Amino acid sequence: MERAVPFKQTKLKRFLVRRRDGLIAAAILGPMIFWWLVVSGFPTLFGFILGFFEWIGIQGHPKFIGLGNYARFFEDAQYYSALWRSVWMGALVSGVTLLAGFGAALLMNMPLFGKGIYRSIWYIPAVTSTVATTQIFNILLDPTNGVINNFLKSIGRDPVIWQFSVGWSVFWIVAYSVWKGVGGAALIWLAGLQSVDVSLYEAAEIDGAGRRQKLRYVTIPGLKPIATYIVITSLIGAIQIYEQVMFITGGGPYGKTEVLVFRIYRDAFWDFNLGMAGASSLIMAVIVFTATVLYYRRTTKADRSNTIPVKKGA
Amino acid sequence: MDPATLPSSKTRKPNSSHIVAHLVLAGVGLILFYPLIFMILSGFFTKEEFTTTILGFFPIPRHATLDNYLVLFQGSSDTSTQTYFLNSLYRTLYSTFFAMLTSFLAGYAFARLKFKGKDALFLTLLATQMIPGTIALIPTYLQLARWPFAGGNDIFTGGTGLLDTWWVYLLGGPSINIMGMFLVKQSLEKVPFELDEAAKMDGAGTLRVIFQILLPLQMPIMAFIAITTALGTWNDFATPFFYTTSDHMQTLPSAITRLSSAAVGPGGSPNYPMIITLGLGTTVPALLIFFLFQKYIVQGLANTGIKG
Amino acid sequence: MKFGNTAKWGMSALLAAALAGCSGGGGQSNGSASPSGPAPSNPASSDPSPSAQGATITVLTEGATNVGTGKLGDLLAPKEKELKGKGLDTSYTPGKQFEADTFGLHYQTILYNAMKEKNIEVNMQDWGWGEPLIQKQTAGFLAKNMPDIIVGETQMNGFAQQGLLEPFPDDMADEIRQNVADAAWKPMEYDGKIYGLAAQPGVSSLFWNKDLVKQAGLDPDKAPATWAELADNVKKVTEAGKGKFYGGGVYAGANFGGYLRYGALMVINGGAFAEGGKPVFNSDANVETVELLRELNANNAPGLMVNTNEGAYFDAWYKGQLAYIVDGPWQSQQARNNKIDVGMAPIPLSPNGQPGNITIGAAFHSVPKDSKNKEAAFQYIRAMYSKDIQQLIADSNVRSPVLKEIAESETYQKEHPELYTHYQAMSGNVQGLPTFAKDNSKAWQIWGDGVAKALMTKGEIKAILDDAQKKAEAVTQ
Repeated sequence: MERAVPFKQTKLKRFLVRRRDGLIAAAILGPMIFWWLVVSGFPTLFGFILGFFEWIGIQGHPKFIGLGNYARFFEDAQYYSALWRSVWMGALVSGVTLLAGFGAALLMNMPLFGKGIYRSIWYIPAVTSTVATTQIFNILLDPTNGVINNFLKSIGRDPVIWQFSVGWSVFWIVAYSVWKGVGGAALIWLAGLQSVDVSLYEAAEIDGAGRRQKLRYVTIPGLKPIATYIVITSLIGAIQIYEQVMFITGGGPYGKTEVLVFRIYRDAFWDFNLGMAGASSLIMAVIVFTATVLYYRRTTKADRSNTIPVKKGA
Repeated sequence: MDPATLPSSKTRKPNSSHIVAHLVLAGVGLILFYPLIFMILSGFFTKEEFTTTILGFFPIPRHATLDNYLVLFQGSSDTSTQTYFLNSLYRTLYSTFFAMLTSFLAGYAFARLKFKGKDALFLTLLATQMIPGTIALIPTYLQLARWPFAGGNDIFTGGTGLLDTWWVYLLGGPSINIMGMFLVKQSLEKVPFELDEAAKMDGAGTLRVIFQILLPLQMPIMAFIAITTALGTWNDFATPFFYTTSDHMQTLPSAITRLSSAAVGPGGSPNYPMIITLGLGTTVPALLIFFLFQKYIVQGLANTGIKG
Repeated sequence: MKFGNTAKWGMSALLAAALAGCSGGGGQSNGSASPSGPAPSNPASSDPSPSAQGATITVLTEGATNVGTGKLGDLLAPKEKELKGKGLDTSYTPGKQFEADTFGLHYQTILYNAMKEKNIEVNMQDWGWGEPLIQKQTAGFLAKNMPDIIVGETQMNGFAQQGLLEPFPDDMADEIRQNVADAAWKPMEYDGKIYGLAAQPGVSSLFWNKDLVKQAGLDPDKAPATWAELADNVKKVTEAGKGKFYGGGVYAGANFGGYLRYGALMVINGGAFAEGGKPVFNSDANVETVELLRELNANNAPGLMVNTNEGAYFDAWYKGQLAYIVDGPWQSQQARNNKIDVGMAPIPLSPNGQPGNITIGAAFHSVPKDSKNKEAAFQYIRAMYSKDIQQLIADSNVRSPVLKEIAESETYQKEHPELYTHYQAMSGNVQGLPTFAKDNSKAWQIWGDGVAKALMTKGEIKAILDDAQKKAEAVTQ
């Protein structure tokens, strides 16, 4: 560039300055997106494209059927009710996880002795193997010899057949998911809490704000960007749960806890119905995506008018 | 020093709210930890005693055995625990570094730079996280198997492609961490622009702004990304299990998955104490990673605010 | 290979790769003559390699015979050392019982020597078991990246129906039909051809806990011979147990663990899950069977028989809380290990019933269509029903051999009377679980949910099964 003639140099420079952001973004994101396209984008796209084909069985040829699989999704109760269950169970799981995690983060944010140990203990379930820990839950929930029912019997209560009740089945799926997820949620909330500008608290104190007011006017607005992140990611994660359903209730009692990803899993690997699995995945992705965009738009709009938490309490 | 944001930063002495906090954190923590206690104790049972005993809240074996833990640490005759451990380690280090670098740079680009189609691109990347992982398994397998001119392939077919090679880990494992990128973006958006501009006034270049001004502020977030990626990679049994077959390619979790498959086998009753112990085995190294690095997540965040 | 190289190829081939992915499935149309069933007119892939001489075959390992992964020849010595290290006697003389834990070593040593004679080298791979195995196999079939011998349980019949497996050569199939018990291959028979073999499969028998039966005032050495008798005994034991122990019967959860076990009752009563891939849920025979299940369930520990988790049911058995169960042959040994005085007999018959059964706990070995060493692979499967291997299984006293020559010998009848009874049950009307023509897992789920409903509620059984039939017909079309 140094050797370019002066005229060109200025033009180039002006171009570079004007497009500076775009160029840096291209330099950073270009290779990354290329890499991503190769290793994840393509397989994902391939899975989606299959949704437009009837491809049953590995030896059969994929036959283009347009929206046939999608139509079936909305005609067949096995699919749309599984989707609905995924949605509400996912909302329940992420709601409980986020609230409990937030409460824990507020406590962990206090200058307590041994905070590190609490953080670690709360986070431990997240690193355990699902196959092994669901097994433990099953041992605890065994109707005749389960630890919990033995306890109930010892205090003179009737044992509960957890697996026969839709309510209890949902309860234990949610309990397991929260058990696994709450520590991670608490950590993210904690990181968010700690990044709220301390000077804002001091300012609020000078203005005579109490503890609750500080929470309302300093902490919560300051947490907004992290909240956007954690709400979206936990919803995305929670709507896709299926291993705990597979291992704890198997979708029972009589299919009442079956979730969509469990259905997709069996479509793909037990029935070789890759077309239907692809279509169901796409429908699910579209629904989550729409919800995410709406939520994301709302929060970023609010953020734009209010990037730095303003001392409303003052 | 941790900032005492709640309650008032002036409170230094332990008070009643601290006691409540201790009680809640320790009490709930105990419940959260309980299944692990159950697992650890179960590991000392023989299969026979485990199945014939009515287990209490804290099952104590009458005839304790170390067999399950020995299988975990020694494996069976053919397994080379050291290889698995090193594979896990290399893979984890690589993926973690990769995820930290890409998350931070991409997060910076989305938080700080203005360019066309930013929101659309960002949401598209985010959208890919909404696809159930199960659906990508078969296409990914096909892609690795059909990788051109690799593993005996002609243009697309003929051999095994990249399956069962280190490329599985180099390419597939540390796919761009989009959630990490999202987190950095959200976190950076809170850092005032004035900071960048002040640095530029002082003559700092873009790279210096990124790595010397913004990165240090994001250390807690980066620590979080590093820990979660490291744990995720360390615990990931699926990638080695599905895309590699050779023994020397296995990691600890995939080797453990194989051992527990053998414990289930065709017919007969599964060896639960062994399955549980093996499941516990993946957890322990992951826990060590966490214990060592968790403090960085919440360290030094107080200085996020603008200085001066 | 350098990284840059591959990346470059990746770049230029990104679009093309998408096409290649499609050809993984679609392009096969040129290859196989018909999408379903075996395709004999496929010279490229179904011609056995001209000679098995000097071939290396890859074989998937399974839990019962596992000695590790890698070249079989290199695995035996370290395994022996390990077992010796545990203080086990690793010697084996045909005709003599041996240490149960050394079974895998002896099994693989015999196979290794048999293959060495034919100049075939064996390479063991471990693809896991259960769900992970099925996932990996499905992906492997799609990518045409399969070992020469695969192993599996309930999924294998589906693979055969998909046309993914190579049928056994005619002479081998004839030999098997003549000399090997039905349970070893019948479940893998499709369209008149055999697609897989298990060296030591099982069928279900009735087992009972003699102590509990005695406590109910019943003869501990007499097995119930009819369904009515079984139901009656179960009721009596439950009454005698007063909440401490129960009559038991058969596990009937909505999963393969349940279908495999109470399926045997259905077969006995002349019922079936499917015929020709179509559901036949609401037959009178099935209604009667489910009525029995309901009766058994009513006189049992609440929530045990239809529990999602079969572990809960067998747990109660091992803890001495259930008097009767239906399970595979390993149970007689395992129950003894758990200090249960156990009785074993054929499953009771329904009023018009005929003996029949369903293969359980079988590791079927099959040769995928994509195998490049089919001839050598079939040599391996031949060795599985050879006299040496079958004698070893006979001596193990855990399962029965399937080779008629050995199982029907006088010595076997005399030395292993219980397992000989089991062997007898492996011949005759023995089936595998069927695979539905379409949406297999959905059809099974409809059935399992129907039975669970019939057992958990008081609704009319016929109506519940009619409803399940209607739903399943809609799914399988």
